[in-house]
Amino acid sequence: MFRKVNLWRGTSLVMALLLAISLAAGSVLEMYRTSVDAFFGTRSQRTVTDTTGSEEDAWTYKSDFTTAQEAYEGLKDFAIRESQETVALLKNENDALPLAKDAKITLFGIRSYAPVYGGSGGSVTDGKSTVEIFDCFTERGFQLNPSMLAAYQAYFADKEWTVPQFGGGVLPEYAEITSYNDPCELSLDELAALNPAYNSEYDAYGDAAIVVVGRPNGENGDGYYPGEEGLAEGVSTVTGNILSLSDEEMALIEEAKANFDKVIVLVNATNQMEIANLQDDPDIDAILWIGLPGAYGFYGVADVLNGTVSPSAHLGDVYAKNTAVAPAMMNYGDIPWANAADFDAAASVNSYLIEAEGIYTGYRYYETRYADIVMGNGGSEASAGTYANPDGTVATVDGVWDYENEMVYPFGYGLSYTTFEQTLDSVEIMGNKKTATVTVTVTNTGDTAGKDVIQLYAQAPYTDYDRQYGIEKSAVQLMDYEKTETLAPGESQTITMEVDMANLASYDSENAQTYIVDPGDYYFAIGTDSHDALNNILAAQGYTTADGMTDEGDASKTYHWTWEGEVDSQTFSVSKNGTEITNQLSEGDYAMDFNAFQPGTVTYLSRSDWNGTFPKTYTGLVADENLSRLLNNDFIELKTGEDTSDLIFGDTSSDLTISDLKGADFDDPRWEELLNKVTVQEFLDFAANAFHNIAAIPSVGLMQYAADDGPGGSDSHYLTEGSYQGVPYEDAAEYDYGTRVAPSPVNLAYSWNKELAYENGQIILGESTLVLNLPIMIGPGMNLHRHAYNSRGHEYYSEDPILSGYTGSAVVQGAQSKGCLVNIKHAAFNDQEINRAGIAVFMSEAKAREMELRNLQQAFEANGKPASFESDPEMENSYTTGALGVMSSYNRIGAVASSANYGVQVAIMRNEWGFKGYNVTDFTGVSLKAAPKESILAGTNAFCGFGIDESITYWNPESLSGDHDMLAAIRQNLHYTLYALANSAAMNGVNATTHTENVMTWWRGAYIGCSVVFAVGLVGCLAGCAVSRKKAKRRV
Amino acid sequence: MKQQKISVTGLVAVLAALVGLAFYLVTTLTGYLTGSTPSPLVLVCSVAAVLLLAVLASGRTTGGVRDLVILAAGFCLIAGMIFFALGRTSLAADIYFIPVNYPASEETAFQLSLVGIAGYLVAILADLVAAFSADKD
Repeated sequence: MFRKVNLWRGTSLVMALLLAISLAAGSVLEMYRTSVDAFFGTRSQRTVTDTTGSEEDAWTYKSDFTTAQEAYEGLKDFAIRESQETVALLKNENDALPLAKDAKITLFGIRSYAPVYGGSGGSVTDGKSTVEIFDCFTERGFQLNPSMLAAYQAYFADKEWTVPQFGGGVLPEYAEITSYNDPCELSLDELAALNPAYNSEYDAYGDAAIVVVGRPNGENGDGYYPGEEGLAEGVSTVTGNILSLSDEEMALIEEAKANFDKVIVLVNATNQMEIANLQDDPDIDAILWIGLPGAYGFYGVADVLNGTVSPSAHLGDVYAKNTAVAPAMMNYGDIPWANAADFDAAASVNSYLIEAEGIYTGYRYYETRYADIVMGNGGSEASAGTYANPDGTVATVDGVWDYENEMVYPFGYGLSYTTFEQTLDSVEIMGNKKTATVTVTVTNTGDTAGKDVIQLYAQAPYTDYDRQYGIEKSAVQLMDYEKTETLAPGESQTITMEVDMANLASYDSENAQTYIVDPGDYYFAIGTDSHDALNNILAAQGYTTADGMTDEGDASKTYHWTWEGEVDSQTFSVSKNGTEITNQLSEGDYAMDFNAFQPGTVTYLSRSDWNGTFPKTYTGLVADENLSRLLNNDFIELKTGEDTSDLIFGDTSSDLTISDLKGADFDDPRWEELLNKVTVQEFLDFAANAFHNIAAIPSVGLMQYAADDGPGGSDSHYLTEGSYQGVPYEDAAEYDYGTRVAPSPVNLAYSWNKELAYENGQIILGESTLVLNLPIMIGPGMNLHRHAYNSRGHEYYSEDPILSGYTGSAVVQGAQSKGCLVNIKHAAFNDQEINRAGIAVFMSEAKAREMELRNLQQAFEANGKPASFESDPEMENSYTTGALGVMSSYNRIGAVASSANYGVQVAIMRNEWGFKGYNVTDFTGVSLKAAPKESILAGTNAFCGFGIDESITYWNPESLSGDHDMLAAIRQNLHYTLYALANSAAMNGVNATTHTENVMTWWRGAYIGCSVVFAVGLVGCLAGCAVSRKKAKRRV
Repeated sequence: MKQQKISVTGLVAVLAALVGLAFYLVTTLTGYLTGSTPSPLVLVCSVAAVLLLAVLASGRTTGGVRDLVILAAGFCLIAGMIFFALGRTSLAADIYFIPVNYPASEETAFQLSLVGIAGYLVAILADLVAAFSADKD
């Protein structure tokens, strides 16, 4: 008889449960709103400006794209042009290439159907835009063997492209063949099972066999490992490393060789693959390095294959026979602290990396050891496991180190369909030693139009002083480069380079404790690659093949000068902004040299004794008390009760807003007035909500904006959201395409084209900012390649600090010309993905400064201006402001969180380089792994991540306001932030009427609608319950 | 004197709520979240729910009082569970948003939290069963 009461009572609870879930879901969705937008491809907030006819044009930065169609076509056009310049021809016997435009070809390899278009995480390629390899080739006129294609089509028939773990859209890769320990190549038997007639049309499509081999790359990966450890069960490769070709890949190549007169191999990877066997094989006619070509890049590859353009890319990393015996590989991967388990998990203490190879990474190692052997300075003696046999396998007994056994293609290598002659016309070294003017003429001596690259290298003397104080010198180092215009046969171009000689200085942390240049003989050399340039220098020094040189050099391509006197520790001891340069990373809490903590532990590789100092693997190190204090990320005590009355927060007397300071200099006196308005709580809220987000600061009129990753374009937003000067594109709905379309950053660097890199910055980052209203784009990625195994190497440019630095600098300048607030990532030393969150990276200060930091410095100081810009009035105002934003790294710098390393983040970046912009952490949130209070003191403006970890109990004004240094740092950080934003597209189109509005996205409508329905239902059910109970009581 | 029959669903609800609360406290006071402060909202709601469910389990409530006890217990359980879950969203975000970037102890804390939330859910379901069940008096 009381059944109705039961129903009302139970339904009330159901309604309450559903209401609570709806409200909670709403809370979570709003809390992670920017991420939700990224995931669903929605835009839940927009900036609205009510324009009036009389006001001054507020659109400082203007997009080149007024419609979605223009944006789509502009992006595509650029991506194809970039790809055409990022294909490196490594071998071309008997002019095997180019092919006829209508050549009938047979594609071999799983990567010939499903190539690696981009990263599998970080700089991923937009699948919606991607035109697949076979479609590109067909559109360009090639006729593809349908029988072979059918076999691969059958294999992928039930497989689909993946959905990225981060960002929106679809990723043009198949999870089934994306592996770091297995190339996943199909055997001939498997091909036969998929299509028994796979080999039936070789003759009909016999103009060439094109075999595509590749390796994926991506953020978050555990990474590639050398040797057995890096191979999945059943995988066997030529050298025993995953980066050489597997048995299945070799079987395909043998099949191609057996059935085709012309065999071409495309190397579809940014990790340096081991391809010595292909280089040596006379039946392999051509090898093309294509990297990761991006969404439209196979149009460019086809254009190179068919001769529409001549290849002009050059390698930006060495291609060794066996990548595992590089000295850097002796300390790589997961090398845990012996006492890692003793630490609080929240501090993220796991492993360390002792970079004992010093400056000798990439070509610096191979070429310097080669030079020492030629010059009779030693280096040929080698211990087992540290050198390669002639076949590229690792030597298992002590023996002789031979350059020919180590090297396949040197740094800077790349062929063309034509030939060029370069002459070193003149060199002028300025009396102050700081700059040099170098003029080179390039002539196309062949019969095909093409571009050439001028590579200028230098050699500094390796002296007794250097040996005494542990200073190392590479026998050859890149100083500058330029790319010519397309030169017709017989045409010449003369280019004059202003060379920054600071990049020739060495860092002496032991004696002078600053940069030095030695007295002695110096050389400039041009060459077709680093080895050729070194040979030219050796020739100038009187050496020949009789001394062991691989080829005779050309002394006429060198310039020799001598600096007399004592060791010069003055010229480069002051930075360009006048700051004295001295040790920051050699002692104290911020030291990167492990010997500063435990003296005598690490022996750094030295050319004075190659074999005796070759790095050992440093395992089992124990974090002692001092190291543990730092590793715990809580090493600066907050002060209380200090007089902070000179620091003003929350002053409401001014009407100034950030839009009033649009474009203002950092030293504009109005900043003081503006900064006085901000409260400490506002800073804390802003800093804690920086995940792809620029939080509002209401007191100064800063609105909330979305931001996005990353180096290759917007990860999460599409042209469907596009607009031109605040007005949505009318045709937006027709263009559901992204901006992640260009080839990988490695490809860009291998173009050796500063102007192209500038344009990449303009279009890929800058137009993402303007079209999608994303003032911050997280990029470019600028960590150096330390070796071939980093699974995130595709997002970084090169092993060389000048090639990487100038490429990155050009991208930054191009992006900033469009108002994009770049976040160069990752500062610094993000040298591997394995244990990336928390790994402690140690190295000498000399290595840090001469390699990774020298690389980043170029972008922060706006260095590397292309020669063509110097004479172009329209580019007069380019390269005037360095990068205005940076993202710190997950790894520790030395023993402390990267964002908390005052030595790097403040003493070097801000003081020496004059960086005055926005500095945000990687994905840490306000948590112990970011050492929040120490990071604020080290110039961190914001913490990317999901809010405030409960363990950070001091994230409130009360806890911080008694510490004068902390408040001063907060105020300074606000100045950096607001200055950077005021000089970005965040202020584009902003006037007094500008405001943000919430947009009723479908998910917002869903949770609000559910909440209302369930709330009404709950009230109704409760009422029903009460009424029923009352009726029931009456009946009783 | 009439013998009151103990409510099985009430008993299940009490035990499940206690399990949920225990896992909340364990994941708050130990492991990855060591040092964090337990949420007063979770504690108050959970303790109130357990007390109300204990009353329900005793079988001594009837009529309107029984309605109030069931509903109040349910509301407290729901609130406790929601506040518990909201306090763990950052763990889920860390783990699922950018994998490979979190310590194992964080995943352990998250998984134990899921067990705790499941405890609350079982308690809520038991309370729902009691709510939909016919009163015996």
